[in-house]
Order: sequence, then structure tokens, then C-alpha cells
Amino acid sequence: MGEFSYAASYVKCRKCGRIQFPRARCVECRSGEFEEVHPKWESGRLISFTLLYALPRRVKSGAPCALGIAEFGGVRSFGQLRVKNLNIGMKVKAVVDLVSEVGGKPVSGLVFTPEE
Amino acid sequence: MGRIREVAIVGCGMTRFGKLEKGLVDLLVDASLSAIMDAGASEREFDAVYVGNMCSGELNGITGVASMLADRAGLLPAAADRIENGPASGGSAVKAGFMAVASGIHDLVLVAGGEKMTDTPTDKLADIIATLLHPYEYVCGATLPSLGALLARMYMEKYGVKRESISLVAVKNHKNGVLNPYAHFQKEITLEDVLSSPMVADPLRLYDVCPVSDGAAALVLCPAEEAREFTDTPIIIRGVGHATDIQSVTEREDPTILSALRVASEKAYKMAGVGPGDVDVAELHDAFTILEIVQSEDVGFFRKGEGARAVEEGETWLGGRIPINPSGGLKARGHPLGATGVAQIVELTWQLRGEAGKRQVDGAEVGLSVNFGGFGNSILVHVLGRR
Repeated sequence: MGEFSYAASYVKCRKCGRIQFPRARCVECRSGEFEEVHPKWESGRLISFTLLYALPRRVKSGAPCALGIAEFGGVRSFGQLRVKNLNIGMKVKAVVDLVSEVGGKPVSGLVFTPEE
Repeated sequence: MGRIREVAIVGCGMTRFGKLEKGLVDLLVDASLSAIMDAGASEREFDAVYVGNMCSGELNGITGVASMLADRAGLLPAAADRIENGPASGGSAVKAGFMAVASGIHDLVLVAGGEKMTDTPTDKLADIIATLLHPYEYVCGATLPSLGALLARMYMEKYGVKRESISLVAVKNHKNGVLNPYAHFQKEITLEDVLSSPMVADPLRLYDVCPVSDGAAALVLCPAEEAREFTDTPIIIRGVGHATDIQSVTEREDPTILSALRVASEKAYKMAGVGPGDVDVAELHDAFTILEIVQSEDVGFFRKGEGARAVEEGETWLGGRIPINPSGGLKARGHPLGATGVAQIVELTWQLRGEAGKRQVDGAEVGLSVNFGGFGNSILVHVLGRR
């Protein structure tokens, strides 16, 4: 699994406060001190989406697969969408669920669904 | 910047791009020998060879292609390196050759770029290329076209641009490809053809996306002060810029802006002593139609959000104010990954020499190329001039 072992994990820089994917040094201020964060995947806003017809083999859900980018407070993230009528600006929430198979093993990621 | 030598392109050549019979190394040999012939350097000893290639191991089951090329093309004992930088491998190879000559370490250098892609099934190919994305985006099923689609939708929303305007890039580049005997596609298409082609990643359709191609391209470089030994029309590499952006598009402050391109083009303009208004002809990395539009803005030709209008109004067509991709671009010339960044410079060399035939941009003196690696996280800009 190596590179692909984590699903939407985020850390917060202790110096500048930027929330980001895990890395050795902060993308903003180069500090190496981070703390774990668990963003609340609620009250998100969908800022872009696509229906992917040329589906990679690792995704088993069948084409088209909807992919999107959504903003949750200070965190913008990527995920699969399980939504019927997609609109930019729509409110979404996210759960961690299986999204694909890499190297024969199931892996998890964010799945966005509509938030009432 | 310290004192460096001026670097000239004194020879160039390429294979036709498309679905070709020959293997990767043979394609590299063909392009290299045509560049060496073009330079009249058949009897000369080369100091170094730089080969841009992304996936010889993954697609062709061979590694060490640079030394293979040196052996087969009669270039021994030249130093040979393969340069891998995703779809910008070719641009990085040109940069490596430039630095080798500019620094004074080498005098006569061959730069080649090539890829052999059509033996691999398309879905496997898309998967191999997608491994350059952020591992989390990869896990979710992202491919390069899907990121292009997400960018297109954000761009359309933010700048109020119509879907049709973006696809005009494909119509323009196919029209240019008809004039390029090296292009993969030499056939005009209509806007209706683009808008009715199969959906790849909504809103991008098949004709918004570059094809899968085989091919190779090559250049001969030497110090400008020695260029007249080879040619009466040396072309000078006046500026080189290269920058890196955050890997995941979701983490970029504004995902519709290619920050690495802004940094790279600023550096290249500064080194060249020119600005975007001085550029007469450009080869941009239109792997997807939307990318040509966004790059035409971040490289400074148009204000943000104005790139689509420029295509609509003909400014980027042959005969327009700043023709973009007279070669047909990745869309029509084709996109053999490692070859593209070198082929862009080959096209600009022909344009600046006045040898581009029916697609010649009249009186072109300054040319610019953008080679885009990752999904915009590694971008190279080269500025070429007749002087």
C-alpha cells in the first residue's frame, strides 16, 4: 500500500495553523510541528464536480463516477459524490467510506452526500 | 544570476506523431539523427545526451533509454541521462541541455524526448499517468482528465465562460494540425463535432482531450558563439523558468490559477529581457482545451478570465495577435508524453527560422513554450529568440 495507505487524513501546523495533508514541513511556513486534526465533514459547499466516464480500474462503482471538490470551513477536500442532481454551491456532508481498490486492497476516502 | 554562456539551437528534428510501428528507442534514434543532420553535425563528437521520457519502464519494459540511444545513434562516449518529470519530461530535458551548455560544462549537446504509448491499453495508460497525482486524489479515482474537468467547471463558474468557448481551442488546434505534416491529426473538426463527441469527464468530451500518441523529437545545442559553424540561422534559448506548485489542487489557494506557471514565466521573461507583449508565437500545453486558455492567462498574454474571449475573437488563431499552438498543439500534433516539451521547441525553432511552411507566423522573432507536468505542479517555460 505504501503511499496509498491513508484516507483524507489532515494535520494542522502548530506554528501558522494551516490545515493540510500530512507532510514533513508546513507548505505555508516550513515548520515541522503538526498536530492531528479531525475536520468535521459537515456544512460543506460543493465548488466543482465532474462525472467521470473513462473510469480507472481501481474504482469499482461503475461509470460514470462523480468526483468533486468541497469546502468545509477551512478545509477544502476531494471526494467521490453520491448525489443525484449536482449543482455548484450545493450543501454537502462527507463520510469516510470505501472508494476504490489499490493493489487488490480496498481503500477509503471521503464520500460526499447532500446535506438537508 | 551569475555569468553564463548564451546557448543556441543549431539543429532540430522529429518523427511524425501518431500510432507508429517503431519502438521507443528507434523513434528516439530517428528524431536524433534528423536533428544531427539538420545541424550538419554528423561527424562531430557530442559531449552529452539528455532524454526526456516519462514511462519507458512502465509502458515499454525498458530502462536506461538514454544510454541505449547514445549507443544506437553513434554518440559514444557522450554522457547520457534520462530525465523524468512526468508530462514535462521533455521540457526538463531541454532545461538540462541548456544548463549543461550555459555553464560551460559541455559544448555540443543532444536533447531528445520520446514516448511509445499506443501499445498500452488506454485504461492502463490512464492509471499509470494518474500515479503522478496526490495519492489521496488517486485513491478517490482521479485521473488527469477528471482534474481537467474540475478545473473547467470552476473556471466557467468563476469567470462566466461558456462551455462552447473552451472547445473552440480544439477547433483551432485541429485547423492548425492540418498544416503540420508531423501532426497526429491532420483533419479539421467543427465545434459541433467536439460537443457531440463521447463524454470523458463532464464537461470535457473526447475532442477536448489530447490523443494517445507515439513519437520523438530532438534538438542540437551549442554555445551561441560557435553556432555559425553549424547554421546561418541559430535560434537562441533566451530564457528558462521552472517552478513547482502544491501537488493537490484542493490545497491551492485558487485552483483556477497556475501559480507555478506565473513563477516560471516571470523567471523566463526576466532572463530573456522580454515581456509577454513581446512574444510573437507560443506553444502551450493543451492536454485539455481548458489548459490552453488558463495557461494563456497565467503566462501573461491575457487578463485572468479573458483567455476564452481571446479564442472566440480569433486572437490566438493563425493570423491573430498572438497565435497559440500553430503546430496543432498536444490536441492535434499529439502528446507522446516525454516528446512534447522537446517538440514544442522544435516547432518554435522552425517558426523563428521562418521554416514552418503553411503554418508560419509571419516575422516571428520571439517564441515561448509551456510544458506542464503533474497537474500543474511542475511547469517549464522556455523563451526563444532569433537573437
